[in-house]
Amino acid sequence: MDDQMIELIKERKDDGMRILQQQYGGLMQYIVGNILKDTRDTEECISDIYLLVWNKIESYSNLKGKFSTWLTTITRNTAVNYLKRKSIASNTACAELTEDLSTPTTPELDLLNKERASQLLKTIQTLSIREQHLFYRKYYYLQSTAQIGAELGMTERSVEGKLYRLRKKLQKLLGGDLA
Amino acid sequence: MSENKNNEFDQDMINRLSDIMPSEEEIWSANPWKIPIDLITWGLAFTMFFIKIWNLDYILSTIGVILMFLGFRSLRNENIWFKMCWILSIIRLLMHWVSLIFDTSPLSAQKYTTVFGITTLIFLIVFLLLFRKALMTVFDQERHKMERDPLIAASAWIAIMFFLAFANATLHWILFIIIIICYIFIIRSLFRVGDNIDDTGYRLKPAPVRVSNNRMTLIYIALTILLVLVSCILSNHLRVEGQQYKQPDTTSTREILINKGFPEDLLVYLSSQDVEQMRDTVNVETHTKYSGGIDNIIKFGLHKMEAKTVFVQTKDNFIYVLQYFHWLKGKTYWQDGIQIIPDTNATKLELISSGLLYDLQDVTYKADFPRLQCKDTNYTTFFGSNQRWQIYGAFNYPFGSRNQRGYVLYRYSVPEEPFCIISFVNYVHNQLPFIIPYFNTEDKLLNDDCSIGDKWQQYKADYNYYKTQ
Repeated sequence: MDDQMIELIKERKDDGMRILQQQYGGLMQYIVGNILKDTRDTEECISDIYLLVWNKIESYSNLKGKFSTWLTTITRNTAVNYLKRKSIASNTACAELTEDLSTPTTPELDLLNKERASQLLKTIQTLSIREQHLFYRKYYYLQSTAQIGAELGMTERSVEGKLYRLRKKLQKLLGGDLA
Repeated sequence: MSENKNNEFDQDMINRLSDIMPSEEEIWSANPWKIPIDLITWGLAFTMFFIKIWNLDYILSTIGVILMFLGFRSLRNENIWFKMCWILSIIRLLMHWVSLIFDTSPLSAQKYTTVFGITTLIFLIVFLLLFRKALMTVFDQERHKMERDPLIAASAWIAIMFFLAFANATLHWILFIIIIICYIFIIRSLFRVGDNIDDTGYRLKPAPVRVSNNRMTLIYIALTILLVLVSCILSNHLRVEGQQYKQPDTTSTREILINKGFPEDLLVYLSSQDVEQMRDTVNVETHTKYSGGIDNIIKFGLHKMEAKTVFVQTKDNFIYVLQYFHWLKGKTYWQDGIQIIPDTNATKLELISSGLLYDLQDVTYKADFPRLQCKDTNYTTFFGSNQRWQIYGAFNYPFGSRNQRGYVLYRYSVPEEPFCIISFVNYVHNQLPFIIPYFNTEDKLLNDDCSIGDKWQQYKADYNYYKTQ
């Protein structure tokens, strides 16, 4: 089903996008909705993602992984960037975000970021499966404590406790290698 | 300061993850549908099929009902049908407790187990059909088609299993294999329903919880264990009401019996009325060794009991037998069972008296056996079924009692000049109250259901008939 959909999008056929919406609309809604919270922002961001998929479909190769993984990465990063843009626009107190977005990117910085990401991935793999699930929900999907609790069958307090311990553990594992 | 540092760390993690592609498994695990549907499916798997070894049927069904509850708890806000399933899953938790009480108490032998069984069957089928409706509603809302429909098959499967259980049917192995295959097929299909839900699943909003799944599971399992424990203790400790024991006065008959060899320390437990029946004694024989050279110290694991058998033959051709036992190590608190089988030639078997003796705070008490009867019963052997008179019952002693001992005195007549008279005793000692499912210990003896796993011993005394002429 995925192969057929990708081919249709590559051939610039609307049916491909219709299948994409039918197959993965829920997933995109789930990821973006959790990050942006606001319904209008979510809808706007999802439209951006459809456009991004339409334009970048050639960069997808099934040798690198499943389509759902590629789409999840695009969806998540688009939503996070949308949130950053929105933070700047509304001049919120999120100083780190502003600072981060205003930092100019250079090839050296890109390389450094990739190295740091790779180091983080190795660290994540040392965590238990449950800790990994919790980590991705908190830092990748940016889910609220309430939502993590509801989906994992835990109380908010328990999630907070586990996240606290997880943060401490990661801080220890990653040492002083913070931004 | 620390909060700023944490925010900085969190932001760094978020940024770094932009360059990371999570694994496929990680993406699928974030589907809000996955955990609840897995819990429900595992719950159904554990409650639909019973493996009757090592009490796995009770352990797995306890885990199963709580898993189903947790699954439906998460989905209760999704639609009205899921809410109804959630309510039924709460009732199911309570019904499981009721069924455990039935299984661990004498209630299991009562006629209303059938009523409870039929109620459970109807309840389960309604439950499964409501679950099916709930799933179909989710699929319909998203204009998806539910490709598999295993819940109708699951309902039919449960109905057939209940019917077979009620009919007490012995399954041919081919039929058994077919049933197992159907079960695997149903469970596999249920898991596939969960897998196929993909897009639909992401739209679910699990309901918040006040008590976490882990804690809820632990609480339910702890309460279930407590309930089973209390039910077993209350059901397997028989009430014994003793009265202070007074040693009888010496009479001429007692002296005759003692002179003939009746152990004095056992004779003191018999009432004067019992003793007078043996006035015309012609022979007394006391056995402290049993057939096959078995010692009279009978071992039940680490516990041990001393047994003695006294035969008294009277002029009128009656054989009186006193079966005495005295616990040397270990205590009897949980309905021990005794079965006495007289000689096959014996006629007119009659239970004369019985008694349980024990010391409590340095005072000796005597009590009746809570359950003891002499009856003509059916028994089955390799050669077919037959009838025989026998004495059987169950007893235990009050908590804290010491020096636990007891006896059964019975008599029967025998045809003139038999070669040898045999008296069998079967004894089952329950060291713990956890008899699951519940049964009266003597019933186990009567049905020849005892195995090496049970603390079961048999001893036999042979009496050589005393020729009077």
